[in-house]
Amino acid sequence: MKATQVILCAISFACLVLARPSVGGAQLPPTEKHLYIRTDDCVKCHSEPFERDKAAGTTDRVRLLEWAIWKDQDKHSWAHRVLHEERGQRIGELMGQDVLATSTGCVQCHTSNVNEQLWSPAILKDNRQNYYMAEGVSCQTCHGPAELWVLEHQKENWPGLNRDKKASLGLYNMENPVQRAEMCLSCHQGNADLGRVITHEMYAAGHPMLSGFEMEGFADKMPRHWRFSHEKPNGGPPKFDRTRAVLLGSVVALRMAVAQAAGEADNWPELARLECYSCHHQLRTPTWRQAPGRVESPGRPRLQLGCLPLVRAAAVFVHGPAGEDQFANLVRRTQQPFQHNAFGDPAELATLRQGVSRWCAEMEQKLQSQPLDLEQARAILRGLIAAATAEANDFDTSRQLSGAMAVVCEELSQASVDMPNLAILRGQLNRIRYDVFELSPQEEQRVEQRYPVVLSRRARYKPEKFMQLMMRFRDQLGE
Amino acid sequence: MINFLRADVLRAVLIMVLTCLGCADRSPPEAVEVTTVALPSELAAEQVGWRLVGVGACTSSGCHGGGQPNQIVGSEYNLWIAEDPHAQAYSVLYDDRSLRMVQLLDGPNWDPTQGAYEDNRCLSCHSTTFAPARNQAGEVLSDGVGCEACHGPAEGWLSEHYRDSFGDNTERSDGKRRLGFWDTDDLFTRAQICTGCHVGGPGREVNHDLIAAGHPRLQFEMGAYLQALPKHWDERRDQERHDGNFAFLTWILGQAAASQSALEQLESRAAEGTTWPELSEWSCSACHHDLRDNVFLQRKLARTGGLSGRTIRWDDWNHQLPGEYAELISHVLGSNDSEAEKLARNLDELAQLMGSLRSDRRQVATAAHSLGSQLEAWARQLQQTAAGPRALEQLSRRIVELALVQGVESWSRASLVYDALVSLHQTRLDSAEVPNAIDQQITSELERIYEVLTERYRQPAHYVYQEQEMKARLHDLGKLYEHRSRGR
Repeated sequence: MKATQVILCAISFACLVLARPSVGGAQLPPTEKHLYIRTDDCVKCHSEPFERDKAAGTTDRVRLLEWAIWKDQDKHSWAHRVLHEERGQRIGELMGQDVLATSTGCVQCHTSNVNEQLWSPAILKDNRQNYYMAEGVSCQTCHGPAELWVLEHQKENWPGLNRDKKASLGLYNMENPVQRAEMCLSCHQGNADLGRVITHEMYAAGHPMLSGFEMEGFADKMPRHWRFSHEKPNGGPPKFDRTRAVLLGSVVALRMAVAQAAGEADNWPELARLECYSCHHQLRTPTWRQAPGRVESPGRPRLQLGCLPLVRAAAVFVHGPAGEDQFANLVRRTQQPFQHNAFGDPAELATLRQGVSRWCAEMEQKLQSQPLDLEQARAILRGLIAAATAEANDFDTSRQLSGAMAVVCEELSQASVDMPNLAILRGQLNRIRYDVFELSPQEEQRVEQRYPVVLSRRARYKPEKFMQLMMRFRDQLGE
Repeated sequence: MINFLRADVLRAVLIMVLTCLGCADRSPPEAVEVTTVALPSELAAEQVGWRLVGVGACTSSGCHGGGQPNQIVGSEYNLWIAEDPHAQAYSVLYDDRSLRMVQLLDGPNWDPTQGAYEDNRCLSCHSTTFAPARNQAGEVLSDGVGCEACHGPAEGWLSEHYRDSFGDNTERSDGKRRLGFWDTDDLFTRAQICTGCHVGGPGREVNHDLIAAGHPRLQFEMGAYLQALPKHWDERRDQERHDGNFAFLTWILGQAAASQSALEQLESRAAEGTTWPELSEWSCSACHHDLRDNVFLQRKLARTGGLSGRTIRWDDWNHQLPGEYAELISHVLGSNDSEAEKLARNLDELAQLMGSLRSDRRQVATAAHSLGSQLEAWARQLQQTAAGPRALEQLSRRIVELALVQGVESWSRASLVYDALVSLHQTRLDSAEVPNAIDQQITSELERIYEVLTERYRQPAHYVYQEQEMKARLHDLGKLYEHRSRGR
């Protein structure tokens, strides 16, 4: 091995160790140290440029739409309001809990920074905490408490500061795909360390399903208020950052999901950690669930790991053909705890967590080691299609796959790749997405209207049909 | 005769047709392991040591293979091979469904050269494997569920049972048992033989893995199954032996045997070293339903403490007798209430244990074991008790009343109530010289319920069980019962 490789390995290993103190756990924003400021203090500069920048003609330092998009279109800004509404109140009533109380835990995801000790005096003044909580999931929920960096990040030298310095000021690095995934997944999947945990009880009381979170596909629907690096001034050409984030996000989702399940040994089985539709389906035969080779043993629930086909594509991308074997082995291991205990043996889940954490850490490191090129992005698209055609996948899994493919197609088309059918396929793919999986913005508006539609779509979903569409997709692509 | 509910009559016919088409020429494996299965306790002792001779030893034209078209006695084999689905039990193991099941069950360890027809998980019920074969093991295997599967391994009694001295009187039945001959004239023994496979037990198991791989779920009801079976014996003798109470006893002893087998099976499932919990112990519909955003269901779950999913309904299909019928019966027969109460109490305790996702396997095994013994004692006691027509009429009324009070929330529950009422009504029809007008009305009402319930088979894709409709029918039936008893 060359010396440079040794050094690179050593550095990445060191990064790995430093960045991830706990196996499988997410690296948390440093909430213990810094205070949260009023959101109002963010709004002004993110809607109107500084005089300094106007004078210098550099008004594109930020989009200036960040707050407006969040306020106007981003469902995160309604996160707290839904607790007051009919469904939120009913869930509380059925569970015998006050959903608005900090002690019940709902607010851990439905608003931000519920610890009043960490609120700046400005928030506490004039009873503004009510207003603050009501903002739902706002700027600092994801970007970290701004007490120390709010002034710093306005300065001209800010972009040049290194990441460690920024982190020490309390800024959470949302540009890093692994950290971004950990942040999103902490609510959209769960993170017990942050008190963000969904349970079967909440689902049964009417909480909409959290499943099938794929970071990049969801970011489009959010819609995103940020720019990708190539959209920024002097950002250079697209580097397939989102394609890479698709793969990284799925690996992080796997690591966190297994860690979450293994961490619940005392309270196991927590059914919310298992694939909903492995039990909740109508009984009929024959069925795609009885396709040979689909599962290690039929009739056992599985962990909720809708990310797996994406992980398959990641494994093949990183390890080449050997990735298929590694992936098959991984799937077998995730089903192993269910061999002797129908709901998964907690001790075996703990063992699984160790193995998966190690494997994922290596994958994350390799996926982050260098930017992707065009050929690699094409290979990833092929890998995703291969995962979608290898077996019939359930609704959430296929939804993730379709979202991920749409992201890769979009990046490929931006890179003016020589793929004659790409534009057509992009169109077809997005049509499938909105026909089968996604809701239009109008349908999205209110949960009371949305959720029955979401569930009936799931019940109507035909995995074989999606698989066939993907096969046609593959043939047309001619890759 | 009125119809019992038969979930799988059509399926059985279909299987017969398909298997006759599909697997004429395949040769069975040469040797097979003896499966250790739990036979009904009193049969277990006798079967040890005796070997199987195979159907071929019974089919001589002078014995059971007479081939007389309009005669059953002397042509038992001919009827069995032509009409009895048991004769196809082995050949279904060659069909596509069986092939796929083994493939699914074995997953990555699947060996394509090994068929279901060589697999002890299948053969323990789809053939006769509880004893070694006297000579050609493969031939016995391919007989499917043949003579000896129900009558006992024949090595000891083959050359004795046609002698006059063998007889069929009860004093001699101990001697017959010692030769390995099982007394199918005894209804409880007969029921235990049926439930050994149709409910299951240690070594003979349709568990959740098998169901998920494609095996039909087992839902045994003795009266219904016996009605559907082409009888290779003289049915009048059944009536004579049981003073016209044959239908009633078939129902209730079938219930007892089903519960007992299910408990033995539960005990073996709860033993250390096995997969636990066994998902098929729970009610299918507790988990298996598409998810709906239904406030009514959410409220119902919240009321019953089921939101967390940690409490779950134990499937009580096989446990109607200890659950409620034992008490009703001892009440109408004026027999010892305390035994029946004890059954209900112990079942309730077991149901409590089984109502948790984290049920303790040791506690479950102990509770299942003791309830099973009590149940057998209760059934044997009942066989000695005379049940008059008035008592059975009263029982019908009680069952309807109870159903109306408790509700008939599911198709399963409704069909269990229906089968009970049909058995009791059939008992009356069997003993009455001429059915009176009210009896005929009751027959029609039961037929209407039959139509409602069997709609499920005719329209499987669109069927929705309607509890209100069922309650209305039962209400009408209750009025007729009342009318009948007042007219007396």
